[in-house]
Amino acid sequence: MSDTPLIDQLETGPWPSFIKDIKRMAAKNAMCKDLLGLLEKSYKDKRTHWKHGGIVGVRGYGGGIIGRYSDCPEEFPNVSHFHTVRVNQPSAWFYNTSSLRYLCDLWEKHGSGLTNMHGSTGDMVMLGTKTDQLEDIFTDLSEHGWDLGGSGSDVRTPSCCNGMARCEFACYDTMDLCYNLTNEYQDELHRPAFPYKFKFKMSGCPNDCVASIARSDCSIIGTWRDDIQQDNAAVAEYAKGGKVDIAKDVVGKCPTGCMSWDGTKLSIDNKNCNRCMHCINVMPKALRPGKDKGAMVLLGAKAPIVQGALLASVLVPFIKMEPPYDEFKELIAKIWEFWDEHGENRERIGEMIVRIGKGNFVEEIGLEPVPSMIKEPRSNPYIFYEEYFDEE
Amino acid sequence: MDREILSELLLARKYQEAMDLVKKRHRNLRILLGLLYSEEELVRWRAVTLLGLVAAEGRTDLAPAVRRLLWFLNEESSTVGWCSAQAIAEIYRNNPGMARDAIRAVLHLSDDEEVSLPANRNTPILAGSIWAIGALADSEPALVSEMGPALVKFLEDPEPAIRGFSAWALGRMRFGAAKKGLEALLEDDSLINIYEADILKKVTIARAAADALENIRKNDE
Repeated sequence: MSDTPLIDQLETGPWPSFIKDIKRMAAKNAMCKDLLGLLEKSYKDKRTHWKHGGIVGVRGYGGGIIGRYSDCPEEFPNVSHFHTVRVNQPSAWFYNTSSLRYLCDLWEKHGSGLTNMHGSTGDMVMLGTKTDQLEDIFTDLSEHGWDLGGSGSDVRTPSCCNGMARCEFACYDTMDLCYNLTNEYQDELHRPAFPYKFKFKMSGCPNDCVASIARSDCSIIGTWRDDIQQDNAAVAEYAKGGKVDIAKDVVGKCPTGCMSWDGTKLSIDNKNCNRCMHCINVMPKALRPGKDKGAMVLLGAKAPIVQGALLASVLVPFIKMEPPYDEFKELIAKIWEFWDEHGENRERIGEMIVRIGKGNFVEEIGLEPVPSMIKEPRSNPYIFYEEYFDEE
Repeated sequence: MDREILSELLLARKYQEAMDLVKKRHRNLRILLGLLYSEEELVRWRAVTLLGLVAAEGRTDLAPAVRRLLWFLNEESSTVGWCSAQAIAEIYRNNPGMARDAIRAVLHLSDDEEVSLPANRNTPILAGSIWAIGALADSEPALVSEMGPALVKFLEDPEPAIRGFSAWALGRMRFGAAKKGLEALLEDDSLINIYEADILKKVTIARAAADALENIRKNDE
């Protein structure tokens, strides 16, 4: 009979199983062998045998390593420590095969050999190593041009969609901005000094393929401020081809009703377009984002911890996003200055905005309130009443 | 840029100029907190000293930073507050009101299972807590005296930094019950770096133990 009858069941489902992967590595790595034993014990006891957190790291950096200890080191000595190392991924996760081989070899030498490509932060996540290996791992990574990612109360590793590298919809160069911000904010990324974490995620268009609007404190989403580019001959091709019913599949699904189709001509009332991308996604050969491209900056998304989950809301409806990105960085400096001084411990920026009110926040960072900041219909939290009170 | 300037000022012990830079804008206080992670040991220690001086001026925006430093000693999402314990102690020494809520937690890291047990300890953080006890021995003897027995146990610790910092701290506390343990270290040639009165000194544990015994002897007289 197997030593691990309970976790063996996880291999029987239709999906690829992490147990199968760990078993494969267990043949040559003692950490993986003990990891299977520890997991089996957890299933048997119906509780985790990982202790909560742990304080480990490498000198010079305040983050990048996530400490993990088991509560039964005598029984499973090879996973008494099972720390995670976050490695800063290249923009948009482009690797060559020699990089991947290097990283896997490094991890088989110093750790369990198990990786998670990628964690939800965007980093490459190297799972399972011991404290005495950390400095050697860090030195080796640094010598090969890699760096640790963020963890704790710092700027987390910025991440982006593959933007202009592969996508015709990209309204700005997400990969360049991601690389630029990663370098610009090295101190903030490696030396935690904020009230809590701060995440940048960049999407080249409103399709938001990295889900930045839900997963980042600062979401930078490509957009345009002129008209959708329209190729009427290509629209006619779609109509003739029969695969797209323009009236039903395009015009009928426009969320703002800003389009019309008379059977031969597609008309778009661009002033009322909210950049949902639906029509462009359905007819990419006929419609494209406008020519005057840039990005909108949204603030405040987070998963539920202290308060419930929040989606980001618009802070700047349009900003030109071109190197060296000074205008954007000045905005970030003001935002951080205020959050750093007024944010409570473990308070994400979105939570602080909820606490103090977006009107106050916008005023404090010196932005003019605009209708695009309104979060939902019939709620207008950004009216400033000072003049009203002054009159009284 | 300000990070490099601030580091240079600290290395040159130009504290007034460093203070002026930190006062100039709030971001520079964050940069100063960031220097607690500096690769250069002396910069880390001098950043600790400067935070104490900033505290002495009663700067109000330092108070949230104290809570943050404390949080970094036990962060669930993995910040490592390498010098948090020392910074909180120095802030407390210069302005007790600013770190009153945090100081006991810092001192008691030395008998916290998660931090102090060899199996899962973080040596620099534990050493930082022990240094904090020593640094407050003169100004807050009543506050630190209860930590004496925990430090006596550390005199037998396998890690030099823990033995050495404990010997140094017990000497500053003039903790008579440590005599036997300190005498056992009088031939311990392991080297440690001790930061005291603005200077980072490399000393043997034997030297630290002898100095500690001398302090205790003088106190007994």
